[in-house]
Amino acid sequence: MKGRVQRLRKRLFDVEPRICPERCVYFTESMKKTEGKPISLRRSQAFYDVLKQMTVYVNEDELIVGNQAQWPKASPIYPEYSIEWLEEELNGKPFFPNERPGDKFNYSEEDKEKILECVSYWKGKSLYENLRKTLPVKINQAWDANVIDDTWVSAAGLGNIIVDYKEVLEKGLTYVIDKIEKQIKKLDPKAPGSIKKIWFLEAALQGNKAVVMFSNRIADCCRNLADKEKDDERKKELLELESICRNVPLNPARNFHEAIQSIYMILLAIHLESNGHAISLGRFDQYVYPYYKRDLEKGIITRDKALELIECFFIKCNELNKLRSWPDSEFFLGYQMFINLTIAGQTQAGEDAVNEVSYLCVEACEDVKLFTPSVSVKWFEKTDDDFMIKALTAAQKHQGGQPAFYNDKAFIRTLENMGIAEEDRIEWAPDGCIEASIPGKWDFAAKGPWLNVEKVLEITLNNGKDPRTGYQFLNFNTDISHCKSVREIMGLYKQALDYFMGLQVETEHINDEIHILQDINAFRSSLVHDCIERGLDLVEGGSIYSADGGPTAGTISAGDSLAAIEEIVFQKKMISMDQLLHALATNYEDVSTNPTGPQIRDIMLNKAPKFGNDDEKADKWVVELEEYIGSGYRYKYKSSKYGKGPIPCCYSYSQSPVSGNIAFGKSIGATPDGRKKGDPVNNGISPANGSEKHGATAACNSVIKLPSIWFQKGAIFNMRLMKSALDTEENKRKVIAMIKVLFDNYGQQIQFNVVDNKVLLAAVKTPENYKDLMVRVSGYSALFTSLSLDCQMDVINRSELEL
Amino acid sequence: MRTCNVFNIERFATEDGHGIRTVIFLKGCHLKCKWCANPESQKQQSEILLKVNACISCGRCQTICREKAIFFDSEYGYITDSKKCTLCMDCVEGCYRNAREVIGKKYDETELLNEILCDEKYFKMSGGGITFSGGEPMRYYKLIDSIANQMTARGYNTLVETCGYAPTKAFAAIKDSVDYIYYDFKQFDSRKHKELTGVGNEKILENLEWLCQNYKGFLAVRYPYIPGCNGDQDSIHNFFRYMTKLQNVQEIIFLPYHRLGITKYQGLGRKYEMGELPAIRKAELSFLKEEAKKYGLEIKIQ
Repeated sequence: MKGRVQRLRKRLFDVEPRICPERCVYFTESMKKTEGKPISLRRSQAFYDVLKQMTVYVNEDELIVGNQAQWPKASPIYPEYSIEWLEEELNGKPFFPNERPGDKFNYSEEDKEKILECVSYWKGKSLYENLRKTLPVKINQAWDANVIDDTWVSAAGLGNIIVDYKEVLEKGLTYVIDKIEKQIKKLDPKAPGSIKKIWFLEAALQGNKAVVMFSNRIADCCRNLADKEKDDERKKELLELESICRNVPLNPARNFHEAIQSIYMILLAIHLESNGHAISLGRFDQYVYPYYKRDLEKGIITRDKALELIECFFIKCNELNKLRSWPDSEFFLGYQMFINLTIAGQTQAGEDAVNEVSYLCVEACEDVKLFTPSVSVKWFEKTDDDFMIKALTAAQKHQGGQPAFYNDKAFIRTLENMGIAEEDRIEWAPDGCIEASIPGKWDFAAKGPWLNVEKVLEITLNNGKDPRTGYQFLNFNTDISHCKSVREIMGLYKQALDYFMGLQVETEHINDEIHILQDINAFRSSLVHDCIERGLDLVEGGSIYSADGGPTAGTISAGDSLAAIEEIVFQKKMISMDQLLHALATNYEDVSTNPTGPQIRDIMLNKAPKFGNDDEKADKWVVELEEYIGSGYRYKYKSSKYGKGPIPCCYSYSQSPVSGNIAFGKSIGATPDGRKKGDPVNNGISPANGSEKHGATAACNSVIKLPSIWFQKGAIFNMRLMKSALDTEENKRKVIAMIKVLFDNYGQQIQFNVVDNKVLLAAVKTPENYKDLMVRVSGYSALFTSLSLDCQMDVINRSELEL
Repeated sequence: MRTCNVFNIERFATEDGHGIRTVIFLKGCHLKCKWCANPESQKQQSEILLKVNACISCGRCQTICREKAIFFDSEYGYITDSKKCTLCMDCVEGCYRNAREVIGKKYDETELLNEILCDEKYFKMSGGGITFSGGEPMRYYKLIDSIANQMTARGYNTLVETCGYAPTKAFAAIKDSVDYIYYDFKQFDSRKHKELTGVGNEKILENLEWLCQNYKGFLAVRYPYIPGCNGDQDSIHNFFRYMTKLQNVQEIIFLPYHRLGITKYQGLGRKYEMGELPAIRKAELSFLKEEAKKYGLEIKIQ
């Protein structure tokens, strides 16, 4: 890391996230003035007004410039989406934003007053409020019971978008503007249906011009600073930045520096237009490489300079922030923006797409050790092993699961099933956490209510009623305690899943209609094909591809629960169904029974098979559930855009719950997998905490059995690896061999949590969560948690020395 | 059909040998090394091990046991007296915490092969295979030979970790089918060897010399470095001098003493003979590399 990058990185860590009132104020003022006009035009006017009036600044040392708020890492406010929580939280309910248990945001009293003043205007107008008012009672009940939850895409904007960066770099916004103007001319305002399209296109035009104006404001700022700058070197940089910001994103990028700045400006503008998160970057190394190559050939850039620019860009991505309501934050803890950056994969000719920029991104990831952007490596059968070793080394040093590895083969199979054109499939890129998108052609790679899969099982085991809220959602023909096999329980569970999956879909149809009325974002839409040609916003069906689906949490835990019932109740008959149901209702705490509640919990935890051990007894239930949910989403439901242009407009399965597995777990009572009330459910498709006991290959073998063809929206597979497993190149090659087996068999994704001493110390304290940690020494291996304390400390000391 | 007593199968083993491996730990050993990290491997017959950390001392196992074979040891907990135990498994199945484990499960060749082949794809992708460890695996040399041949036919390799205490004909039987032999060397002085391990080293040295003459595969000699047992200058120099005389040893590996076996001694109700002797770190042994150089030898520390 160079001095400049080091300083920028330090400054990033020194500043605390806070709330910025500017956008809120300017946006609200603008919207007040345009009441009564079409929403597309009102929103583009407000976007323009915000970009015109907000503070702009350029900080010391910066080579990539532009700001989202008055301070780095400050979050603007988007009152158009929701304000109830904002008012409550600013008044301390449940927490003041600066006193939350996580993702804290500071603010001044003055700023608070400014925001509260705007809030009064938005009462009764915000999107979230209108959605909740419109939803039928049954959906609001399911939402309140935490079975489904659509907060993330109604209390905030829709996100998970990858726009066509390549087009912006090659042709500039000037091309987009020209295209819009031509399209407006083509439309006959007298023809039925044209008017709304013309409004949208005019909005898109204004949006593009707003961004160009904003970039020029930053150029002015650079100029002013340059005029005052005493240091010649910096003065030169600032003048160069001025010239860059005047040229891009309006015009094609003339060099590497302009390309990176242009990308950042687009990313920034989209974050100011709306606050939908997971605005990702697509195949960054592919569309940036031509500029690097050209500059290198011309001798106007060095490899080091390019690395520095990429690192500056990475740091700038971390300045973007989003204030979510506290309950919504619990699903996305860690100030997550989910800006995914993809590298590697294959070219249209089917060759290894790794280039020098791919290497630079891996180096930057390893160097700056930040969580944004999330660097994703697309692996395919010709991906160079040496590049994989580099990437694994970065993962080892990063320690936070990056870069993550994605399997081209698996995703391409899924996308083929969904009818995506062959040349587009190859270009797929993970968006946000992991959802597959086709850059520049897909609307929202993920959108729709969350589904709490293990909660649905709890409701099933309670004869259709949620024990926490008392809502009776379903009535079955059979009483659960009369079930004679897990097959029967599974039948009822599938009925319940159908019911709640149906509610998810219904919710999203309603949510879409409300967004169409209130939330048109013409700028970002104009950068996704074919919004301009169709004259439609993304949410109206402007994109070429579209499929809905929100994250789910707890499928593995639910499968483990079914396996446990089968093994303990019906096969080994260690306890009866009634005993189990009583133990669940009493949270495994009733000591007056025989066996006691805690003993029953031990039985369910320790005597039943668990997913992740290559054990068919557990794996088969998980597979059946995943097949049912996944194929159900794919074929039983249609999204609201069906028939409007995009394909395939189905739903699809997402198992990337971020921290939703913890948030959802809080509302689920005790479950048959041995989980206690309020505990988290499993994360993604990773085995539940501590249930994987036979090592990495066994876990992979279990994961391989899952029907990944349905996982367009991804399924996170987190694997813990001891630091020593990545120590030498030889060991890295072994891990790569494991990844290849996983991927060759359509495993979709894997990311590594490298176990360092911090983790080992945590395992000493809470061994139940770390049952899978394996200590390996020549001729000896043991589970870490089985060692005595002094031996555990020995292992810790040993690894400390060998770092 | 041939059977063997397996006390552990470890998948995704990456510490010894090429590629991803599955290690089969076979039970029973003629040696009783004081520092043994796998005390549960020593006895030929199966036994019950208490997993001390998992036990909550509820005493259920004692109530369940029909043979009254479980006694409460104030130092170690609920220990099974293997003389009385009939391995009925009641206490293992009846312990809700899974704190009791049977050490030693019979596998016939087919069962073992099925278990091994669970990770076949990984062997193939990584150039790996299987490792027979122990205990002393060479007592099952016929089974090893047979499985190793099947591995070769499928394109995977086989490694044997041995203490060398076996009839020479056992090595003769596996010499063509096993690809790697990791051969332990504990002490050059036979009298001391007997003190430390329970047997003299004549047979061990004889077999090693025989392998040097007759084995065409990869032969490595491994030296567990145990302070107070074989860490003194004399022991080390005797070892190095002996190594200079041998042909075909392709790698010399030092294994620093560790204490990770302690918990298992507790679980068997046995005293740990190394007392408080602190574990050795790799870096502490780097001086050996210099020493070895004086003999023209190159060593690894693992």
